Amino acid sequence: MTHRIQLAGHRWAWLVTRLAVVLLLATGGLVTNLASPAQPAYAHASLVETSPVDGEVLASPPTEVRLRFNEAVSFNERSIQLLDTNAEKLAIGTPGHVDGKGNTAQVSLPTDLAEGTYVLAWRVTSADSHVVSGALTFSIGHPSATSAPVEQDAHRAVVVVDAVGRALAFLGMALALGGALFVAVLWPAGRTDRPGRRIVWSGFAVLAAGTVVVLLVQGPYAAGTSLAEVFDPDLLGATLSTRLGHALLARLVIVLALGVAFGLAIRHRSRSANNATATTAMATTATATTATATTGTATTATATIGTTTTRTATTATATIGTTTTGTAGATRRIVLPAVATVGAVALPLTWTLTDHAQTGVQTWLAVPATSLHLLAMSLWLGGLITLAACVLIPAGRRETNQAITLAPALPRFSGLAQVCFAVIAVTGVYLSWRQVGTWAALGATDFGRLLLGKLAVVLAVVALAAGARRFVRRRGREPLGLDAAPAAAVRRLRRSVVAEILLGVAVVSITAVLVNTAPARTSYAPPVHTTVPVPAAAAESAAGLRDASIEVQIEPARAGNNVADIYLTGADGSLVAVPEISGRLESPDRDVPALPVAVTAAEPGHYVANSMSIPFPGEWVLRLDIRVSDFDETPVRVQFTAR
Amino acid sequence: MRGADRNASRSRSTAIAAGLLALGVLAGCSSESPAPVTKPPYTVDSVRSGLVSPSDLGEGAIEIEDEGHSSHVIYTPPNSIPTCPYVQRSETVEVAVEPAIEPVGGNPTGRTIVAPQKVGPSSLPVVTQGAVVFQSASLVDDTMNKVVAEADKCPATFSVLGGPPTVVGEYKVGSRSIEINGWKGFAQHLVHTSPPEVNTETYDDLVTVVVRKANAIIYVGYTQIKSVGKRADSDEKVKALMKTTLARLG
Repeated sequence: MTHRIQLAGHRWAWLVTRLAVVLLLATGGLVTNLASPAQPAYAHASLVETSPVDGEVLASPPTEVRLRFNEAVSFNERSIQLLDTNAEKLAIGTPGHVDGKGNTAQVSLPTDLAEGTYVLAWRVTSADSHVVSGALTFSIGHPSATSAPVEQDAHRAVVVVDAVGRALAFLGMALALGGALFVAVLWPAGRTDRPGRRIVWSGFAVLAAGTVVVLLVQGPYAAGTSLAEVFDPDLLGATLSTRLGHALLARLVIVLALGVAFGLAIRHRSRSANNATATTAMATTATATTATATTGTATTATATIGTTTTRTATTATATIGTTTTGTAGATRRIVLPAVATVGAVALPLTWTLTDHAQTGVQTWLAVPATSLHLLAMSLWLGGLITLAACVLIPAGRRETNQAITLAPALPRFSGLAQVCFAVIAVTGVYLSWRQVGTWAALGATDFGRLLLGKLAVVLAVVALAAGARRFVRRRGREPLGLDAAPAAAVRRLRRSVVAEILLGVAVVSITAVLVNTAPARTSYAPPVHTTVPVPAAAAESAAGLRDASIEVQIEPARAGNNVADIYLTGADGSLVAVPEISGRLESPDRDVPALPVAVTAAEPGHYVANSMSIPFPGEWVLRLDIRVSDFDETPVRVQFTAR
Repeated sequence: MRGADRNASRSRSTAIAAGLLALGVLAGCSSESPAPVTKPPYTVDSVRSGLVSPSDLGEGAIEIEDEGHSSHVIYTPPNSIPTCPYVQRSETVEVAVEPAIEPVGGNPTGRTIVAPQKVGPSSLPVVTQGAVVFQSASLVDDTMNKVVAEADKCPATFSVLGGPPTVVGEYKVGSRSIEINGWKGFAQHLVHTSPPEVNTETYDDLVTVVVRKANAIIYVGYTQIKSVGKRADSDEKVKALMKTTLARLG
């Protein structure tokens, strides 16, 4: 019988090992796929070049349209649409990449397009999983009025559900990882505590549910359709073929692996605990029987038999328990911690390899830093929630039958929280710098403002956590320990921890919105405001221009439509009018012909380019030809950066 | 002080410090806008609170009803929304442009003028304003689309060759999109310079803002007389002014 039990134990260990290896390989494959971008990405994708160009008037219908972006993009058959003058969708070919180039989309057009203006609307997914969209118009023969929309906004409900799904996934990860660590490692009584296990299981469920929500919603989000199409097989298939889809699948596999590992860990401990309880009970019975037998001669024989039987049973049980513990102990000591560690490290990667971390500068550092940030947040918040629900709240109420002790779970968690906060602080400062870049971008962008809000909440959390840490250290130094703390003090600690949890959930909610917002470093475009002196040659031609300067303001200084204000300021600070200023936009490092810029006069001495179109981000030169008299004209070049 | 009391006091201090810290950081993101006195959907009465009052403009300003409909010199229909002021006086415009659009199906507040008693280069500006409130989204959409389309046709430059000396001269027009407290529309900047034989000292700096939110359209004309050589700053001033007034509408 012992042999059979040993075989069963080996079979279990072998099964667990094989399952772990398969899951890790599957996960590893997906993660490796995620970790090997086709080409580096820098932010949300932006359109660099189109054929035909926006606003072009063609003599005959183009056979195809090409869109070139500054980074690799993914799309599906609905991502590019052609609308006629009545905003009716026209049948076009299936979009595809050109010659395997991930950054260029191509779609064939019908050859029988009638004369008039057409709108080509596009909506593609950037490398950081964010959707960017836009539209261009081209005309055949001659331009005509069109009622087709040129913007494709995502449905509000889709955006909200996507954010909720992301928040649920964050919260679920915190409960699963932090809760599991607390229940399985930090709290000795945790593995047999039903509420604690429920919290961890609910974490796994919420994480899986949030992931599935994001997986389902990504299709309508990318296609710009409504929630009614979340189960559309085409959209779902398109999502699963993207980098984000791979990441979400990998996350589900990891959740499964971690769930199995956690289940085995607590099952083993529960069984061991039951065995231990049974053995203790039998031993106690034997002792009691022996004690009773010594008091009466008549019962001595019976007592001896009983004692012998009980001892035999106890020995057999102990042998079985030792054998099972020996085999399963290896599983518990080696396989389960390995699976848990690999899973806990891999889980954050399913976020960081598909979000802002893997776009922009220093991705080699940003991905591990963001992963650590996420992991530390999870361990802290999930552990805190479990600590509050299973230890602090029962201890504060003093209404459970089971004696709840604060030590050693509370001091252990307090130490862990300190490490987590240190990691969160260091990685948070680095990631903030990386995503924001400048102080001005903090207040000027949605990302910056959200980050400030998050920082405010985190500071409040830190203050509360510092108070709790002080409580643990002070009470821990006292002779009777933490469990001698007055009930009122424990209740105060409980309230403080509950407030920490609420604020922690608020942080998670803000983060869910934050990860879906364009980073400030890329979205912030400081307006160009520069002053250059008027060339000496021009100053000699017109007396008012002696020691004069040209002040140029360009807003918003990014790809697309911009407004340029040009002021000619004399030596005394007053504006000086000249007969005419004309402008051109030149690209110093690209083979792009100079683009005309229409400059009109405003008040005397002030000239405006109301619709200066910058085709793509980068270095540009605004060349101003200033006619200072009927015969004299002088060029002035103003270099600037468009984001 | 006993240990428990001291702990309670410290916990309270910690909580207060945390709250103050959080508020301090959040204060950096919040604006100083006044609390709104009303919210959408607007009525003729409630939308008036978003218009410029004499106290908004400054000391010495008064408010009068515009019964002359912007005077006979540059007449526009009562309650109409401006799209291209002064263009009706121009003889050089090749494309027909309406200087204002009469809203269909809206309830107007009437046009009011908030101005100093005497206008000059150093006086307060002149604000001509009004609002129209609609009962349906389609009506307000149609009206705003018409206004924007007509304003887009306003030529970048035009001249007024004849008529009263106050309107004769060159007109330079530029338009930019604008968004203030959720009100979206455009700010059209118009500069009028007189012929050299009439006036070389000053020019007219006019910004017309037309914005829409929910079921209301508000228009504000902000005019200053500026000395030649000084920068036109009506667009910045009217934005700052409307940021305050529109915040009252929520």
